[in-house]
Amino acid sequence: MPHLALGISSYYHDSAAALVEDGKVIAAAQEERFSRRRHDPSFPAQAVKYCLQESGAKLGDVSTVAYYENPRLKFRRVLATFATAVPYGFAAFSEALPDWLSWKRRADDKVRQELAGLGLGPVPALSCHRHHESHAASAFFPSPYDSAAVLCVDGVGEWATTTLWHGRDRKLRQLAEIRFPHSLGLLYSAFTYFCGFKVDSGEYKLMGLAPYGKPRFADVIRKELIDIKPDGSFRLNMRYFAYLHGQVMTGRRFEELFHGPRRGPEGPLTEREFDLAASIQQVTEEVVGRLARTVRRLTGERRLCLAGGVALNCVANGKLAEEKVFDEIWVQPAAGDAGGALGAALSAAMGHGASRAHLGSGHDGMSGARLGPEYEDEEIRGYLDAKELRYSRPEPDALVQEVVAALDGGKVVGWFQGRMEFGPRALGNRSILGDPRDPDMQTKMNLKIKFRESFRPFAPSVLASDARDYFRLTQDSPYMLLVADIEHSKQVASSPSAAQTTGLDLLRIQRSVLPAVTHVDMSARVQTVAEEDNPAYHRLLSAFKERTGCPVLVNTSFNVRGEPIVNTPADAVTCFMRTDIDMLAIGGFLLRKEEQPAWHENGDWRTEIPLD
Amino acid sequence: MRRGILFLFYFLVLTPVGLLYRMLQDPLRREFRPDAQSYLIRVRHH
Repeated sequence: MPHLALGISSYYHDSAAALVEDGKVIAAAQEERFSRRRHDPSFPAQAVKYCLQESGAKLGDVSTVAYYENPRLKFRRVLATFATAVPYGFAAFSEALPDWLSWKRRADDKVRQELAGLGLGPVPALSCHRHHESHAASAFFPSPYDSAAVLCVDGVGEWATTTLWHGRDRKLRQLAEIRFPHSLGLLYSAFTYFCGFKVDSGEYKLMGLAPYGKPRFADVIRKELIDIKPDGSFRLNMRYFAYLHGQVMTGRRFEELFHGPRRGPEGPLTEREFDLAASIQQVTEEVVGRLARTVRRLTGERRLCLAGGVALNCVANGKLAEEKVFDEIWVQPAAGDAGGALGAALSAAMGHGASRAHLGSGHDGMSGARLGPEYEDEEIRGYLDAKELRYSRPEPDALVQEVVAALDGGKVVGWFQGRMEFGPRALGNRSILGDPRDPDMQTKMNLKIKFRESFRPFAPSVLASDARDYFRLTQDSPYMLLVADIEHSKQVASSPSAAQTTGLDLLRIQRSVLPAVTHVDMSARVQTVAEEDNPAYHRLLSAFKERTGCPVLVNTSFNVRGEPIVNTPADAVTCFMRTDIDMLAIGGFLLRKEEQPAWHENGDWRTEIPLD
Repeated sequence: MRRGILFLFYFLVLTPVGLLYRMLQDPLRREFRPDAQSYLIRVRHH
């Protein structure tokens, strides 16, 4: 009998399930993709069902269920926070305590009840793994390294907010930690909140905003908000933060420090927000860089694995890679809490003697993050017919050629192929694609297709073999988690007046031969695509290169603002019909927008999807 | 009713206990320590 470990993360944000068989990752998915509720924190019932279905196992066949944190330890931290935040925290106390007393402190019991309620068989034994242990396991065990340093940085789990580890073979050894309330993740979230974006959701927007500004507040942040030691360890000045005794991140002192109240949601972006974003980004990079040097010194390792929400800061990751603190870094593609489900399952599996079978193959154990559901052509055809949509079914090579011709003609294409990706990035299976050479593509995709803020950049997918011709990468970036500058030879000299341009006007300047994916600081969040990572997507990129000479495509997630990435054919077709996407390649089928009948829905979908 | 009980508990019980707790041993360790070399807490393995 194989050893099956089912990992679960839930009840905070980004609930997920993952299934590991004898140390091999079989399936993993976030609940939001099924429930269509972004960052869904509820029990991941549908993700659990999917994982079991994928392996053909019943719940009774599972050897162990692994929960991604220790709720009792977390409850102690919550109690200690309430106790020492007196007398200012009554509102938060009265709102949160009843839930903690009634079920949250025994979240593992609730997981057992929910699993039993699925009616899929007897519930196996359940183990709780500390939050950062789950992150560290998700970073190291699927990595391609037999030994490595491991750095986990996030908001908070139980007590730890930053942990340093040494991974060897099937063992992880924790070396050091920084504890709540001192948290780099929460510091970044405080600025996210202050700049008018949603906490636990808008952090990547703040990162995207940073290149528009100047880091003029960085010294104030270092002097007043965070004391950073030479080894990267830090403490926050809690006088400026409200998260100990309130339901918000920042308070009056924070406003005084940065000359005014926080920006309201969807309010106008000013020079101050640009500069705040640039400043906190610089401080974050400084802390992460120093911590990386420390964990290198403590372990003597030449390779680094990263996880935790802060590891999704691909600009900081890119700086680490560029500075060559380590020979190579590997970032868990689901570095946030969803990846905790996978880490807990891997931790449990390794504890039962599972092997890391992918070692020696030269690849990691994540299968290109393609760990979610896949839909057969017959299932897709059934849906298209039911909706009376018009489609063709060309030979596979002809389908690729038609898509490439459309892209070359300036069209935007929905690309729905194979298994859904695990983690926040679409990596070529649930993607919207465009031509990066088109100067109008960024605006078109932001405003007419994604319906999102105009300042947000798009990412390129590039053939791994051509990546260094276009981007100054020091290593491959298969999960779109490294930012690198555009190669000098691909940059375009800007006019003298461009140097005087500031803020969102920077968007109008063409900087490279790939304007749609070149951010205002000449950087790009690169995904390198090798044939073994994703054969179908590699074929498409190769065909685009053959036709145009350009081995790069714009790759953005297949969704609109506020919506989770599409999962099913129905989700994909709905998104296609609601937006200005010109063509949809879904399995073996091709749909052209101009051939489709009118699309009718009850109500206005734009008001039904909450903004992120 | 529940909110009233929580209110009384918070201000009559938790506040004095919490203030004492924070005075004796603040688990959240809020102060900067300019003279310290590091804030890292090393993990001991037995």
